[in-house]
Amino acid sequence: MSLEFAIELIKSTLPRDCVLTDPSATAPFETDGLTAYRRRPPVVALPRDTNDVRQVLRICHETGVPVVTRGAGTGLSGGALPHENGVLLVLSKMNRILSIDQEGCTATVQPGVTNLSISQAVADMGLYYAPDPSSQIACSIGGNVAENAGGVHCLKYGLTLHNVLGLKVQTIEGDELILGGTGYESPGVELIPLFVGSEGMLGVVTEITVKLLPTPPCKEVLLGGFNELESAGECVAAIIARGIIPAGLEMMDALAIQAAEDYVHAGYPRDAATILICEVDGTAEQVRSDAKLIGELMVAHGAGNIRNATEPDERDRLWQGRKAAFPAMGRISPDYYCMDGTIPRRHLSKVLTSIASLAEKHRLRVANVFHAGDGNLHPLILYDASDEEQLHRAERLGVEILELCVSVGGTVTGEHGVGVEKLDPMCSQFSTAELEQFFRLKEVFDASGLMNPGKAIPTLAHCSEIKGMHVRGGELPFPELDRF
Amino acid sequence: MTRPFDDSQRLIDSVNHAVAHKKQLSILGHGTKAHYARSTHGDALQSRDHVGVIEYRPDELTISVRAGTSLTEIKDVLDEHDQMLACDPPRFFGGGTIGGAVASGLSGPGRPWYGNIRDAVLGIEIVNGLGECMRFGGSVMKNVAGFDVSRMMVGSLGIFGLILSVNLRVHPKPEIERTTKLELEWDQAWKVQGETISKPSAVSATCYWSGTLYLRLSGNRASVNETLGRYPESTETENELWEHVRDHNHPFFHRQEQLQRAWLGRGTQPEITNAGDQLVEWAGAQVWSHLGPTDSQALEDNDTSEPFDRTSANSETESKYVKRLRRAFDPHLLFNSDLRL
Repeated sequence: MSLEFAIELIKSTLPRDCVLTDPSATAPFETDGLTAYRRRPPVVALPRDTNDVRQVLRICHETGVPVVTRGAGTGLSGGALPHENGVLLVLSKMNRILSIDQEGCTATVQPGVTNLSISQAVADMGLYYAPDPSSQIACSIGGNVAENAGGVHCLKYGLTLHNVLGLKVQTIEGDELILGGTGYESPGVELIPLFVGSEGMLGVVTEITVKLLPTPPCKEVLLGGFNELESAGECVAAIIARGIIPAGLEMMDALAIQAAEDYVHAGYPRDAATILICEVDGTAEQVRSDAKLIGELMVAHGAGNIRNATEPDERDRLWQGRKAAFPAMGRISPDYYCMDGTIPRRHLSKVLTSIASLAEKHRLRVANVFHAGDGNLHPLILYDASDEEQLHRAERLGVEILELCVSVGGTVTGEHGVGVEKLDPMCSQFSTAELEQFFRLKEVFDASGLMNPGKAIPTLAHCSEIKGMHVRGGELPFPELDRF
Repeated sequence: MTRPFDDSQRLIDSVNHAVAHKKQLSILGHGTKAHYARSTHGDALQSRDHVGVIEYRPDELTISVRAGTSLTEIKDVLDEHDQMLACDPPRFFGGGTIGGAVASGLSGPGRPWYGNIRDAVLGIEIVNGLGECMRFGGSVMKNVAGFDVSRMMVGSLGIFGLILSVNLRVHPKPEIERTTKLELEWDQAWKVQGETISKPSAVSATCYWSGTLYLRLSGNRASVNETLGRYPESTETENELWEHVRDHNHPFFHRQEQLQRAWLGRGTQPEITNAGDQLVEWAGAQVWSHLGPTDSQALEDNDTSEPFDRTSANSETESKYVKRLRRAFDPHLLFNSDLRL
């Protein structure tokens, strides 16, 4: 009843074309980038501006109806999966760049602006926005803030949090929080870190001020093939130990190399056990000396087939295979499931060996691409979703891989967020007291629990159910039950 | 070097004792920032004996340290591997603990280029006001599991709980560091500072005082020389300047009047005189002045200008939520209860 009432109120508040209830119109919103999870939203609201957002939140607050915020829908953890009795608040119409301060190197934008379009808008000024998730052509900056999105350049330039200076946030109880600004610091307790990466659980971000950086005048990409995974790992450690922070440092394993080669023919060495792709940027002088040293370190660690590129076209060619790694998997497997654990880098070979044996146990193939600089691992589990039993095995393998990451001192998610996908492994990463603290924190901003309920933080009941399952030796009881 | 010592059980017991006996606690490290923010309510909760590096992984660029560890000791440990804590928090009176640095959130002269201490925090271990020991974040760069409590703790002056240990990201030290100075009118100095942000260069800190702009250049030799070449009129000076500015040992800070700090938005040019009444850092984004002779309109108009002797406050709306947050972490208001944020 309250949902129907809320829908009526939203319809009477927003223009007709900003409210969708017809199943054919709401269908595109039933899933985000994690397509294994689908749920048709009863209503989709498309606010035009901050005031519309505030109206929708007020209605949800008054009627007690849940609200799930969605940006471009490219998220990989189901954070924007609709609520069956809630409003889906889609911010794609709020897609204007509000102001650019060339001298101060900041841009203030609405949440629906795509990540890449910020850099495009300031490219002529010799500036860019550093975080570059691989979906940057489509993903929105609001979604980046909600997930604290990363990318291949995080080691040097940080995550979204490190590049956000200010936020305007609407809370469900009707407050507008103006956090930070265009300066480096602001007085009082810093609330920005709470909202960045909060997966729509605390409020709706309606305006974002980002830091812009000067475009590096010079870049160089090096690629080396290694016969042993360990030597590639040691080479990464040696590069860092020599005081170089590469802009990007990526590894791919043999299966990923083969798939990428078959797909885009980037010229990667097919006989290598692993390849390392390293990008350095900065002033010409710095790049020249860093690249020289990295080349020498690659040789010293047994790399063959070393290639380097300074011109944009050549650099793109070296990156091509890495960037095509995910779609390349689509050619060798009907479906793949992308994991996102992060581990201390020194455990890389141990973790990859364990992943291989877990994969064998579950009779599935796993390809690995790895942000080697910051320890963010993306095992791609290959499976066939049309075979329900195989999907089940893939999910089980995924959970075990993430538990493995936690056991070596890592985390269940480096950059994709928890969403609905990683609620189970969150139970192994956090204690009861920590999870309870998270819920008390959520209540501060959302006492009625209406903001994206059921996501990001597992309930204690959920965890005890999961832990109970573990006691039973990994065999899930009642597999037909909805576990979210 | 101090012998590592794990004092966490005593600290947790003290918190539990305070909970049981409805006592209040004021968290204390070295006490070097007492002129900035100091709690005097309740029993002192002394973290300075909880010391030592728990784990240092130069190849992972991470260090994990107990809260009472001194900033000087951390510097010495990192020096051995040519690494550094890039945010370079002040060491007032030559002291200060890492717990105090995180709780106060103050950063050094390189802030716009190297980030602040919040950017360096990867994970934290705290005791909340219920006496529960909890860990948030971790020891890896990328970690988005759960709300980012570890970075919220930065600058919160202990009102959410006692910090037991922190995991920090460290950086390689630049190959060389040079300091150069230019005699410039403020308007010209402003332009030069702006370019250190908007154009690639080896500049890693700026300071304008009394008609002179100081630049710190960091990187490899070729890149530092390239940037130096852009300022043919400049003359080289001592690198120590940056420590003096960071630790408020510079002559500017020796005056007796009330010290004021202003944080300005990027691209907002403040009015600065050549008389030495103000000292400008962070490419113009942090301005120090003394209450009294300074009568700069730009500073007066700026909301963020305030005495550097108390905790700065959130806006009224934010404050409502900060108070609730405080209750969410410390329901009995045990910690630093006289500090208002």
